[in-house]
Amino acid sequence: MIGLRDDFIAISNADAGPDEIEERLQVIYQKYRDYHCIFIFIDLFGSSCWKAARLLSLRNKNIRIITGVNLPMLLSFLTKRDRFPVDDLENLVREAGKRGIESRG
Amino acid sequence: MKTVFYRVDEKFIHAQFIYGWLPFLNAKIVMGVSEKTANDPESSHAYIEALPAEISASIIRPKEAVKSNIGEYEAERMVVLFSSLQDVLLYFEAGGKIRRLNLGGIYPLPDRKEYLPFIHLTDEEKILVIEMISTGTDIYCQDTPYSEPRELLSILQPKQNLKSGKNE
Repeated sequence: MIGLRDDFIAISNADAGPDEIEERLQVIYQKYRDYHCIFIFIDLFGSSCWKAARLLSLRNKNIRIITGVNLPMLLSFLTKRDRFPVDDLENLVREAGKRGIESRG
Repeated sequence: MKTVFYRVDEKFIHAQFIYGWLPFLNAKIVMGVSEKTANDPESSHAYIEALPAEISASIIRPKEAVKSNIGEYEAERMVVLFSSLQDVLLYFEAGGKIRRLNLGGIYPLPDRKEYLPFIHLTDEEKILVIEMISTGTDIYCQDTPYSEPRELLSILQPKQNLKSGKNE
């Protein structure tokens, strides 16, 4: 839809126990640890991925976690991240997520 | 208090447990039992934060769990969740008893063998669970509430290759 963007990484928890998930996330974090802010998008609040991310955020203040992620949220983030301050960006992403939920019929 | 479910899951409090088992069991209390997590305040905080507000939860050491597993919540339904087989062993060693135990998630490690997609055991762990069964705990495998439960012994026994007649 918008093409590939830099600094956007997907990780999977496939076949991974909790320690392995934390390790996978830690490896990525180390690469970007000097960034002003790192957003971590996760589908389910409370999931094993969320827990690993939450632990990382408790130990590092430059992390923001957003759960309940849908595609409009990711598109909003990727198209706006260079133009808005972090707090505004977070609000825009959340709003995009809400607007993406619709029903018809 | 009525303990309705004993489970081992190395992912401990996670989505499958929160969104699957808790509503299925209509449980209101979670006693997380983990030597490792109970010693790690940040990790304990993250796990408990993930639970719905109406759930009362604590994460304690196996030895404390034996003492806590009595009397305090007469009318409530409680789940006891262990973060590892080792925690179950410590619970037993401290005098705890479990009639029926659910194995819900034991994940791959280099020295573990896969018995089910969500059950992986080392040879030592295999001996350990067989000992638990022989001392009176029924152990079954079931990851999600609506999947088919499988008795652990039935998956530990080697399958016979019908063609060669040898055990696999």
